[in-house]
Amino acid sequence: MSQGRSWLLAVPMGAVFTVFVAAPLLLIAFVSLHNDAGLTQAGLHAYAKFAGDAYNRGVLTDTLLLAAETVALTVLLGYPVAGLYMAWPKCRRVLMFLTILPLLTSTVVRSFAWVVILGNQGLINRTLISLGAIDAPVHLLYTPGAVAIALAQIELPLMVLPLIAALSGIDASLMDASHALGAGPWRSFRRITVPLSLPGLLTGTLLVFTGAASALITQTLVGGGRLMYMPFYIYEEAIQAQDFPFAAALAIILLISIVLIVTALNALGRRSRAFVRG
Amino acid sequence: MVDRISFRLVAGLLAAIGVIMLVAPSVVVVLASFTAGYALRFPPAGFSLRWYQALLFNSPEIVSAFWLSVKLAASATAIGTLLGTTAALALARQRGWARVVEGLFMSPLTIPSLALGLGILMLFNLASAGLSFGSLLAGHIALCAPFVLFTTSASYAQVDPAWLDSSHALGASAWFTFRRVVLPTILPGILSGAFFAFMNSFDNVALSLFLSDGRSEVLPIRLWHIIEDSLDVRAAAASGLLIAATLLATLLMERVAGVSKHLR
Amino acid sequence: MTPFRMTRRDTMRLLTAAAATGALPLGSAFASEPLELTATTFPGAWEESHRRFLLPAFQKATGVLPALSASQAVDTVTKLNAAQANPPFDVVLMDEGPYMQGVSLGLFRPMVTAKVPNLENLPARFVQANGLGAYVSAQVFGIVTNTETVKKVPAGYEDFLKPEYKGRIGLVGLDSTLGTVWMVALAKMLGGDEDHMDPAFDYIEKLLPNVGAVAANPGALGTLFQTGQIDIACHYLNNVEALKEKGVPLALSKPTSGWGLVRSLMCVTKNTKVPELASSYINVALSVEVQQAMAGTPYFIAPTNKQVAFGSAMAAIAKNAGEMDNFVQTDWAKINPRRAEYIDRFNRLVKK
Repeated sequence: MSQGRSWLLAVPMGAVFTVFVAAPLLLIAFVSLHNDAGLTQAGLHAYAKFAGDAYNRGVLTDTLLLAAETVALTVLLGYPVAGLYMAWPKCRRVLMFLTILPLLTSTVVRSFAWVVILGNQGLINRTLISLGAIDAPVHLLYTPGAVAIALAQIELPLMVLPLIAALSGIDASLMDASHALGAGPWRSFRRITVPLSLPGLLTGTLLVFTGAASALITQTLVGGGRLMYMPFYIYEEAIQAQDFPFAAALAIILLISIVLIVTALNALGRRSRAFVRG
Repeated sequence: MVDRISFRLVAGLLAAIGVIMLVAPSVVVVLASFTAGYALRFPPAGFSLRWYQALLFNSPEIVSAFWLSVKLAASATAIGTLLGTTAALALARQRGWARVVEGLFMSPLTIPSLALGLGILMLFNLASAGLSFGSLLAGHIALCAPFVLFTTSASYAQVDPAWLDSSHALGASAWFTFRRVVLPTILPGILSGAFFAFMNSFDNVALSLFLSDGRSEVLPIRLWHIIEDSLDVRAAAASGLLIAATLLATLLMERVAGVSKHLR
Repeated sequence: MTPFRMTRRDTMRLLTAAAATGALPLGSAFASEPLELTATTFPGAWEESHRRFLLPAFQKATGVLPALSASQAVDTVTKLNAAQANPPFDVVLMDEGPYMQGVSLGLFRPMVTAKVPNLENLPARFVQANGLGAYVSAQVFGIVTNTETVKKVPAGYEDFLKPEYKGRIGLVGLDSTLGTVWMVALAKMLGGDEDHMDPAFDYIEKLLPNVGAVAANPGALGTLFQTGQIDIACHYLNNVEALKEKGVPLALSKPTSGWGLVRSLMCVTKNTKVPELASSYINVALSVEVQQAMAGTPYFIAPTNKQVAFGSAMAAIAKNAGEMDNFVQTDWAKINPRRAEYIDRFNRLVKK
């Protein structure tokens, strides 16, 4: 097979992509622009229904806020873990293994674990009660905070791995120079480490934000019946209410929100990257 | 001085919390699964293997859900591997447009799979085709192929073009070159991608929620129902087995194909 | 890095294996399937009791082990309606409200009466005239409390509002029958009825500070009791007893407004490929041995077969089916048209 015809090898994947990825996504956009499930009447009814209702807007903001909280938590914990990896070469294999393993473990299992940990009879409450710190169990489960913490654990590997890659690329002599010039570790971290690891931070943010916003299982298992987020809302409207135009509109709104926020972050990152590289 | 100590303290504490958070949930579930009682509490009340026994011998619906998930993930991975590998080979050394195509092909890695699931469901509805194992498989193939493409492309980039040229110059056919020169180098990449694809397909809930036909359930959904509707300790036992299987599989794949390299 | 050494034979083997792994399941996916039955049940104690008694009895009678899917009645109707030509289920368990909806949507077909001889053992009013469904049970609901953590048991639903129960009440969504019939019972208690549900919604709004968690279905409500997330709720007798067997110290008490009653039916779906097998399933569900087992510990699902006596825990509530006719019931004909609206209104009300 000559070089000229080798692109033919991409046709099978191209076909699958067109039929099962591109077409469905375009179809969602198409269906969302109709007023009825039968697709007889085009219109913006579905989007108007979304925008006009405070409940609906609330579900979207709750979801995006949750994703943002998750990103904040994973950044807070991700840098130290990645730093640990860099600082202790001997533990690297173990640490890498511990980071990958949760990524490959079932999401249902990991979310379930948080139900066991945060419940009224769970690990945390029983420990606090036995220590005498509280008399009655604290309602930890089924709160937005609980969902954020559970999601932070589930998405943490997706922040740690890009950060490790980014930190590996930083010249160690830069840190030495910084110390030699009298900067403390906090200052070096802020002025050197963070800007230089920005590409990894942005990759991690993209992955964690998207993952957290669309984590149906965790949001439902750990969030409970009183918290409603976009993913389950989409499922409910499509499968239970059979209102496909509205479900499609919700999906498009979620996707666009994620894309907008991520693009904004990337633009910010590119500007500061230019600043750093000079 | 204080600066140094405070930095080390805070960083160390957060790192410790981070590492604990990575492993604690799995450990808690596994330990809770060995309880002798009915309730899922931690620490468990008593020690017993009864729930593992109940799971393996008295739960045909969970076992059949497991086999369905395996069948689905294996088929989707096999087909996805063929698709991803061929695409990687085709696009690797092309000009600019190939980068765009590659990006497009890999988009399912970042697009929420619930969007894919909803879209494919609407596609099948439009075509008046009912849901079946086929519809589920279609969605999972779309999810699996990009993983293989991702890792195989990275691996293929490591193949020195000089080898290919000299092999060609010495009169070898394209197939021979592929088999003896390229494949050995990219095989770890292919296997890594296939491994990630399999695990992701096995674990995926969103696609299965939208695309399965109601007559059969995949394991994650079955576990979800058990956890929500009856909080059976068998869910913890199933989780324990899944964690053990994941652990072993990851160790094996790290040995055979060095999968961790592809995540860095 | 040393590359693998692969001979032509190895490559061929690898490719064949890969192709075979992919082809085998594909092949079975498109091949015709052996005779199978898919039935639905409700999540929680219903599913447990069916797996424990009904499935084995059916397998013994026909040799077929059905696939059982837990689905709330409202969701089952939606799924059947979405795939009428090729229904995902062959025989379904329904509550009265969704049953009426299903009939109007044309989702059921008459049973093959030759396969359901046990119909003769049912009182006439428990068999739908057109053969579209047969009542398989009645369930009683009342106030359920955790006896260990709740010292003063509420006497009636109005007592749920007391501040001492802050954060301990459990609710269940209105797409479950339990949620809906409770709302109707509340409305009737507060001077309304099926057409005037505002008193019930006002009550829920006042109850919110005391609500500990909201469950998606009655099974999940039981889970909340089990994990100590809630201590008080309106719940079914059969779920309570099942949880007691698991060591959760629950007790059922009669509210001042009276016991509530819910009846369930089984129906054969319209375009099922196995109507005779589905009808046999209903027959086994109506049989003395299955109904007796389900009426016993710990499920206490009231039988409809005349030949089965009311057992111990049931007898404490009613001596026979006649007495139960006086319990608080729901006029589904009035609820059904507005049910979607009520479900939506409830969801918005309880969302945090």
